[in-house]
Amino acid sequence: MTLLLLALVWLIGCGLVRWMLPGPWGWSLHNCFIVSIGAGIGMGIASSLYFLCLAFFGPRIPVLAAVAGVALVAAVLLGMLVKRRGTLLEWASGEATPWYLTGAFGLALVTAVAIFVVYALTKPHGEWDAWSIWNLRARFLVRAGEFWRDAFSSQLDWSHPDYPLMLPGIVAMCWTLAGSEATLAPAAVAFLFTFSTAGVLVATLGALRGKTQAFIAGILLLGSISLLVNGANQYADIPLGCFILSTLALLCLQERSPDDLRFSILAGLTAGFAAWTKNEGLLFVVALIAARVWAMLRFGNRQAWKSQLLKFATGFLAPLAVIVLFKLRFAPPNDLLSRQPHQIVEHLATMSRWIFAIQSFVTAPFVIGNFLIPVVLVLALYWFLVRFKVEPRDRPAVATILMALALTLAGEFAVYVALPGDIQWQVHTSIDRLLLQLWPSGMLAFFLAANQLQLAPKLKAPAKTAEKGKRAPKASRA
Amino acid sequence: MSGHRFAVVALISISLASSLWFLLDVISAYSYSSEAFGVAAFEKRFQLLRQNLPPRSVLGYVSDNPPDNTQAQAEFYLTEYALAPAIIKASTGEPLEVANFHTNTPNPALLKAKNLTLVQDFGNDVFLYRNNTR
Repeated sequence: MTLLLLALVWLIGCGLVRWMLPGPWGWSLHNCFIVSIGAGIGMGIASSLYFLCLAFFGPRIPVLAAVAGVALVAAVLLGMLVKRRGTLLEWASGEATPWYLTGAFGLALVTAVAIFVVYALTKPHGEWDAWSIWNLRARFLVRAGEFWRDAFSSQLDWSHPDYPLMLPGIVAMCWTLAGSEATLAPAAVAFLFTFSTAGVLVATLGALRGKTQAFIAGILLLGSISLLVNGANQYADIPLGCFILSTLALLCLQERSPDDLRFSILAGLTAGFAAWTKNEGLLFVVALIAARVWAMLRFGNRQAWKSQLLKFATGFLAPLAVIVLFKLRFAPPNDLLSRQPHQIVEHLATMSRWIFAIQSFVTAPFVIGNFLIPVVLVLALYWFLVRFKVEPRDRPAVATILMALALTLAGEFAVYVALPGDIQWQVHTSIDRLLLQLWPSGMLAFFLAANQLQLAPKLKAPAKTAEKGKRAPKASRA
Repeated sequence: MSGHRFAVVALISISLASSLWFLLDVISAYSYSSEAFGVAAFEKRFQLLRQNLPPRSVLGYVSDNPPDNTQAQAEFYLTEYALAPAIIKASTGEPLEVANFHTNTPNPALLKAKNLTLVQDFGNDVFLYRNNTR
């Protein structure tokens, strides 16, 4: 039942995305993109509807079932009956992908799924944050009945009751409609987010750079142990990373299809769901808007930025309304933001906090992904051998990603220095996951900027004296 | 081998080696995993108490764990997770206190110091106490 519910939620997302980005049925890169990005969007929509049902009608299962059913039918009909033509995503042209790369991608995918499944079986309830924050909130929403607002009680301040409800909402919705608190629900949600992140990355790079770069990026992402582990731990950083990547990927695709502004609408929607997942998502949205405007004015079409921003705002509006309702009517104040001004000034004036934060931001990238060798060194080697060459048409997209990630990191750095009482505890318990949120998007920028690869061995020029049709000597065939 | 091929082969080798290595670790961890400490164990231990709690209960919390210890903090969170939607406060300031002990014969000195008298023993080292100072 749980899996069926999640499949239907997935269908809501796919239907909506297909309506926005119509394309022919069948196996194609376009549909891979729809299926990948549709998972997150479906879960974002479903959790928003769940929260709205609770807020306006209380814990009434028939109302929730009816609303979810209407959303499903509407999305499926929209997706199936759409007639207009839109931008079609296809593999970018390039040289043939070597067999070993296709094989390695398949092996990476199978290994990643195996790691996730075995790890999830070992920890069916997830890890610390899952049972102290996300699934705890879901339990309150489901078990407390008419007292569901107790989930946001300030007496539970240690469990951050002000955090938004994307993840608890979708889990609680599954538990409510299925009639049981199966551990399969949060685990399956985590699985969908983890692997749809890989799907979005591969499909986007496939459309922008071709199959070879897409598969290399996919192998690296699926080999990121901390991504799989945090996913299986049911932490919200992976869904947040998925929404951040989806937003930036859609804006990259927008650059390639400047006339089809539906990419910007969908980017607004996924950015809104990022903010509906974690408070850091709000910081990302602010950083993204600033980065996008700057990149468009600096590298892009100066006439287009206003219309793109308007479409982005259109998509962002619905999740924003849900977030505002939650924050104003239900959520208690955030523990970090409730610091007194004199405490913030005191923190900012403490040099040791700055030094510790800088140290942490320099060393943390070396452990990102938990590879056998620090991945920054591997990527540095890759860059040294391959180099970057950003095509002019991709400059606004790459600039948007890099500036958005840089501003987000700068914002997080400022939060670390200014707000927490114990900066060491705060950094030690969060910086690796914070970088993990941005890791898939960083990879999108890296492989978007990487030079075109030449993997096929160079063929020797035929000897001028060779006769046409003459068999080549054995030595040259070896 | 060209520079490009070397870069690609190095990158995918390290990535695949990392994940295959970790897969072996995860499989061996799964083979040896036990449920002595974990959510499932807490769910089982606190099941009876949860069934007996009225709606909107707010309980204090007492434990024989050393204070300011990560394990103690985790056990407090797991107690809340098991007893949700009851609210558990990490102090003994409430009229009723849930006790998460590691023995079925709790230290009488600890109980006396906190002015606690037994209301019910729920088995599995889980007790409910009344706070006499309230």
